[in-house]
Amino acid sequence: MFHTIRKRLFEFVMTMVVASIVVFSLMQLVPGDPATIVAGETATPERIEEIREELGLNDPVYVQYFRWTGDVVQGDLGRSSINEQPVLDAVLRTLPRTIQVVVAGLLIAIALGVPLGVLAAVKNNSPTDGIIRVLSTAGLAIPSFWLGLMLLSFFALTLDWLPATGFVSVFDDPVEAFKFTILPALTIGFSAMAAISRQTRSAMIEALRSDFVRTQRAMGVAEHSVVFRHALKNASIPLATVLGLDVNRAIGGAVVIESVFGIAGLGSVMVDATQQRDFPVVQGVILCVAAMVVVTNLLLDVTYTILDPRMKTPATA
Amino acid sequence: MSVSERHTVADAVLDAEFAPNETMEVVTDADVSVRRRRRRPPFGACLAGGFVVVIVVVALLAPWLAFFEVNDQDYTALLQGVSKAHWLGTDDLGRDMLARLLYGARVSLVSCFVAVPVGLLIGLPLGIVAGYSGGWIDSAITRLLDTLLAFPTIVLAIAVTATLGTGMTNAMVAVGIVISPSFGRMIRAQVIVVKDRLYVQSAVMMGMTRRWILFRHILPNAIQSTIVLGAHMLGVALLVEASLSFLGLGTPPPTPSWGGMLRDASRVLDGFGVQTLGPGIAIALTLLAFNTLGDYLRDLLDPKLIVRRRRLKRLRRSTE
Repeated sequence: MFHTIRKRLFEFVMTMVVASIVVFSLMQLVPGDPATIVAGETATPERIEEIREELGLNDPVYVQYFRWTGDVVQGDLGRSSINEQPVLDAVLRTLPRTIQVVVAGLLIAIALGVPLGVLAAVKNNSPTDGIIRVLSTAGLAIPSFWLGLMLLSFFALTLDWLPATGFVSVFDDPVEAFKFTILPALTIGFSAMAAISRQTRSAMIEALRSDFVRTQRAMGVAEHSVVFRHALKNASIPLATVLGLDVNRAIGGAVVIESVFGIAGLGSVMVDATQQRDFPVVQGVILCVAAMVVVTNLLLDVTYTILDPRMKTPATA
Repeated sequence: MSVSERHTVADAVLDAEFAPNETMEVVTDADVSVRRRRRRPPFGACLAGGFVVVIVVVALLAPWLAFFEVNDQDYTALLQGVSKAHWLGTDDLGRDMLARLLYGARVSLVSCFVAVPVGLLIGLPLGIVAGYSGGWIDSAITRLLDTLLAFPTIVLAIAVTATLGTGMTNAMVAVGIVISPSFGRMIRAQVIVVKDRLYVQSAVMMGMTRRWILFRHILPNAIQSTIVLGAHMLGVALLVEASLSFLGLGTPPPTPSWGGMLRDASRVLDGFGVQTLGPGIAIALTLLAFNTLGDYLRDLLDPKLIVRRRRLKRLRRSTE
């Protein structure tokens, strides 16, 4: 088990290193001189040269890379080229909002997707299965930002049940937070639910066809016990591995959804920075999102390594 | 190299199981009819294919199908509902929604059909080199592709857009770059499988050049599933392009695009929520069509399903 976890940790570090190289190179490829952007169009050549020296742009690329990663490891993501604010502050201010929406969305997705998937697998090839399949196909085809717009227009503007835009943290006021978070969470949750119910269905069908289920049925074990205590337990291991993908997709969904619901989260920061060509901010936020995805995947991997009894013995292969 | 070994074993089993069946095949009339019945794609796939054809035709004929110029603003008819003149109503600048929807199909389809080849152009060489050379080159490229896949697609697309600048062409290239790792991974896995096949080994033994082996023996046998993945990626490309345009980072106004139309509609959401229906349904249906086609093509090539189909065929033959 510790062998596997150590391997995962090593892979995590490698992925983050490569991700930092990718992000750094992307920003190197930006056409135009960053010093000119900082100095403005009217700056004298001397002033530009001064800024180049100040920003360390005259150093070789690899020196710039190591300086940048060194700063990042110490928690310095640089400063915005528009308002000179530290990028880390912007990230830390907005990250909790994105996390709240994503977590709420995933909870909805799991709470609905797993039971639907189990139901579809148990009633395989029945009308129920068909309805669930249509639902999950729709969930994968309907663009989340359109679904968000429709939910917003119906529940917030037409019925006036919920606030339209804005955000309240769950730690400040849980009731208000629920009102503000439920629509974005449903929006993200719907497509994630579709994916999860599909994955659950196929994992459960596989499990229900296996020999141990047949044996249990032959022994007269109650059907609900067969389905939930044995089949679902075994199906949950392949599910845990694909859940990482769903997390990845949910974070991507949140980036777009935030602009629908006017939530000033990581996504909004990134979109604004892209429009204003504020590269240090874009750089910092992308790295943060990558870290978020990779860390969640690492946690999921470690969790299911611990949960899966087969992993307890060190791998011999 | 455990992956390649596993694949080779699986292939060997498949070959051993089906080779005699193929050679001993006696074609009778009943056989032909069975095959014809089997070969006909399912209803959903036909519908999806038909829909894609319709969308392509609509996009091509947009100037002749639309009653209004796409950017003509009529300030006497802002935000109108469905009427005889404007079948889908008008938007907040008094532009005909139907005309914009038809022209929007052009932007969406062109970006899909540009982004996927761009993705192939980047992903294929990387994957082929990784799969064929193995060793540290393989490890390095695979690590890079895996890392790119760790970014959520839209986030990576925004990042590339930030680098290249916003705009329609840049958005297409960005989407292409974003989907290229999937192609790379797929072709790498296939190249590793094909590389160990007997005909490749005998070609190597006969002293053929590496280029000849790669292009005449490995690539044609490895590319199939990557092409199928391309059908799926059309849907991803459509969605990412629409998302970028929705965020204001893709196709700039006033050029109509489905994502951009949703962005326009979101400004007047209070009271005019119906404005989102046209572009929303257009995106959802096209996406559904691409996904269905992709699923159908994947099922055609899925070894597990092929085994099941062949068993079924053998069963039918033995009962007839």
